[in-house]
Amino acid sequence: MASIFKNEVFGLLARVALGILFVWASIDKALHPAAFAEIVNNYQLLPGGIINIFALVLPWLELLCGLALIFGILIRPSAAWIAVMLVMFIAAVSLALSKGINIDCGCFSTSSHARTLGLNLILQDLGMLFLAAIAYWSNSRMLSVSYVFKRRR
Amino acid sequence: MKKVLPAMIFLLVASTVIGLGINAVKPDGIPLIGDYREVQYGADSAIVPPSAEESDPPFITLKEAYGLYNDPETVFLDARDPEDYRAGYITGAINLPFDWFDDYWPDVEPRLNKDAVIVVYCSGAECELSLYEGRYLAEEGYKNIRIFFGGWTEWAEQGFPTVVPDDNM
Repeated sequence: MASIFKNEVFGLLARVALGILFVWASIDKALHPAAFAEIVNNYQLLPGGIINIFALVLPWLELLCGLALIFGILIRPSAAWIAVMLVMFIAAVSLALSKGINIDCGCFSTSSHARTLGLNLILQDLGMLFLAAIAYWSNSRMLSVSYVFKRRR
Repeated sequence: MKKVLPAMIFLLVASTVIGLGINAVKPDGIPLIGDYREVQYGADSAIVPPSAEESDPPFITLKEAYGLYNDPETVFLDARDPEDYRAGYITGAINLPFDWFDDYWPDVEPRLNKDAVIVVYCSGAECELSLYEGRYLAEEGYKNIRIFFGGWTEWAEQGFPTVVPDDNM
């Protein structure tokens, strides 16, 4: 088991897969902050005053961390942020489900009824959390920007 | 870990600068502090007037009323006087003033179904017209009457959808 977390190839696969997922998830939200803010508000978790700022910043954090993982820059900080975000998403979805709020998830898309909340969402987030752990501990620089530059020298 | 935390702070700062920066430049940017109503739907338990009886139709909370409002099958009945109704009512509500019940009933009756959920309201806690009207309709065989005793006051305070006809004149 420990070898999964140290293996360079697994590390590369986890890093790139997670990076692609987060870049993909961020784009629609970054383009439509108003719609995303409305979804955040629907979760009924954040005070009204910070919803818009949260909705403006979060997609870009997802995008930067995703790109960083794909290119192999700042791997550990990006994987750590993604883990923090995933824990946040799991908590938000669990709280919304426990309150019985039936809302759009706002996970990969801001269009309404793209996807509603459910337990499968939490499982999916846990899966991504596992990938983040592999990316963090393997810290695989295989095919990363810094690796390519080092080889040229 | 030593190098991780500063880089995480850098990523957060970069995202904030880019996110807020692009929003500031975009013509359809959103305000930094949005206008969200407090997301607490009044009290958790429905307001029940002291004069209510065991046999009365169920009383519902603002939250339940709003849930029913989102169901297109639900009919809202405004038991207040026409004058109050014209000053503003819950969007889609039909005016059936309890004090002029017989005058209005012929027009309203065809729009009601005995099995449909019907929410009756009036101005709020100091008004009992919704109770009397709901009680009467239940006796007439309308099976799914709900009394929203928080009424117009609670609904309008929350900022839920209303129609204010006098403003449009």
